[in-house]
Amino acid sequence: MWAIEVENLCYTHSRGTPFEKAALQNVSVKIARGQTAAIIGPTGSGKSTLVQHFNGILAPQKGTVKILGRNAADKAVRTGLWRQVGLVFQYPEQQLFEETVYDDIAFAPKNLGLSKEEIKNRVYRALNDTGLPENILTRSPLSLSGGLKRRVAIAGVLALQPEILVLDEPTAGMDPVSKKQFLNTLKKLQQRNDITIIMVTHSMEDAARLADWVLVLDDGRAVLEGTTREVFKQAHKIISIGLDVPVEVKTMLKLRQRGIPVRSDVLGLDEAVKEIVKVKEQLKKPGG
Amino acid sequence: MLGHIPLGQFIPGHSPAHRLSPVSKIVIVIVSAVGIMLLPGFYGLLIAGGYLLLMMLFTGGTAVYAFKGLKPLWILIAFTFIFQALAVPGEPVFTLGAFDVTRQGLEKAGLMTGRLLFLVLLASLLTLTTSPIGLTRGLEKLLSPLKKFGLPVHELAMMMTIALRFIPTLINEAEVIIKAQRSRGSDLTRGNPVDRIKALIPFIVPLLAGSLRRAEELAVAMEARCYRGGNNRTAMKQMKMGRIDFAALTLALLFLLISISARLAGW
Repeated sequence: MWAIEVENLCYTHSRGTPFEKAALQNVSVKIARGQTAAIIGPTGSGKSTLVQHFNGILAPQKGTVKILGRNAADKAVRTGLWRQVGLVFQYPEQQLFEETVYDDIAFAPKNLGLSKEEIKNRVYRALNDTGLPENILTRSPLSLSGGLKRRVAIAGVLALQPEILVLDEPTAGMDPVSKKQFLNTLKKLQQRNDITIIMVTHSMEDAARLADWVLVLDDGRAVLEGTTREVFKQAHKIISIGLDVPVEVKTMLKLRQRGIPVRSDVLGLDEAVKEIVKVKEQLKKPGG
Repeated sequence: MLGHIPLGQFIPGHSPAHRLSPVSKIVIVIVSAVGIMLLPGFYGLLIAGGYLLLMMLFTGGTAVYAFKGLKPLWILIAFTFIFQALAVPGEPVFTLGAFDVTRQGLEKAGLMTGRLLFLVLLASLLTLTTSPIGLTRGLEKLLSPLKKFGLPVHELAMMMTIALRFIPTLINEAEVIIKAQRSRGSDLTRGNPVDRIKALIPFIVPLLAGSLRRAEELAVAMEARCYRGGNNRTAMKQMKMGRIDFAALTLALLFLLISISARLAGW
């Protein structure tokens, strides 16, 4: 079953004013349940606009959006979508407002109308999932460091225990260590739960590390789509719209330019090393 | 949503009105506003209308937006008309419930609404053709004699510039926060009035925190560039008065002169 089905979606910002701007043009996407998908594209390519359709923040202007089989054109469906689709916005630390971290993480479950006991369970589980220490619960979220704030904010969405988790540039502005930690957190989440994760990013590296399926957007249009490996095969296309590809893919492309027939669709350094060794052996054998 | 409020919208252009110095434009607007208020009677309105039309000819088509901007004001204008028409005693034309609508009332109402309309149009001509920064700099220059009396003119102008600059930023930020909290299930349309006011907290606290953070960042950025107030500060773009400014000012003064003489002559 599909988690997300988008067909010919168009969206124009400030429609009907002199400041009109087309953000999405005829975008069609299908994301299966339980998958981890990455939506990548340069700044202003419509990534954020697209994912805001997934939890009912934006209503489709043209085309259809179906979330977990239900049509988001229906307002009643849209207003209930936040219960199934957790959306973590860019710089989510800006949304913290409660006096304690506990209350802030509990905000969404409280809005779900759960029992006190269940709310507590969910807060502790979200805390655990994001790797936050328990002694943080009584502190004020506004007094925390930037990295901790971000994790608290993400925990606040995880506490919804959504079927689909959408993260809009979750690693923007993170240092490499916390970035790695965070991606590992997502990886654990993806293994343990039957959860669909959709990550918006402009980093191919993040996509390579985590996603099994990738959609590339440019200027409001879907330009590439497929499994991560399939998309990486067309690395030149990704580069041509101004995105960076992982260093191992770049290396392979350079090698190919010099006439060494290595595959360029490698995911991760280990694979790249194996491929180079393999090709080297092959070149040695028949009198090369 | 929030993004469509035209807040003193500025439309860039190269018309004579755009090229006027902000200082002279502010003076012209003040002088013309006094003139419009002084001009008596129906003929006065005609003259004021003609004068405004003449001004609009120099805005290179930008004036069209002034009329579009009137739309949200029609309630105010209608209210002014009705209130004036009912409040003035005199020779009754027809009766509306307990009120008599008088000939004098209608005349007065027509005059007041006409003036109100003209004043709004006049003010929007200024904001349409002058960038917010130009406006504040013009104001700063005009008020600079008050420095002698200890008024921190430069600082006031700087505050105004910053406030104007951050309106769109804060609107954007508010939009994002509204979306983020709605994604966590906050709902402003549920419950009794007390609940609804409480439901505003998730929006107001982050917005306030954000503004404070921005203010701090801005202060640091300004200090890092050695900003230290208005003393001995020079401007990158000098505001010079040209021939066009004197011509426009002369026209405005002429208009004021006409209205004063009309008023004194007792039209």
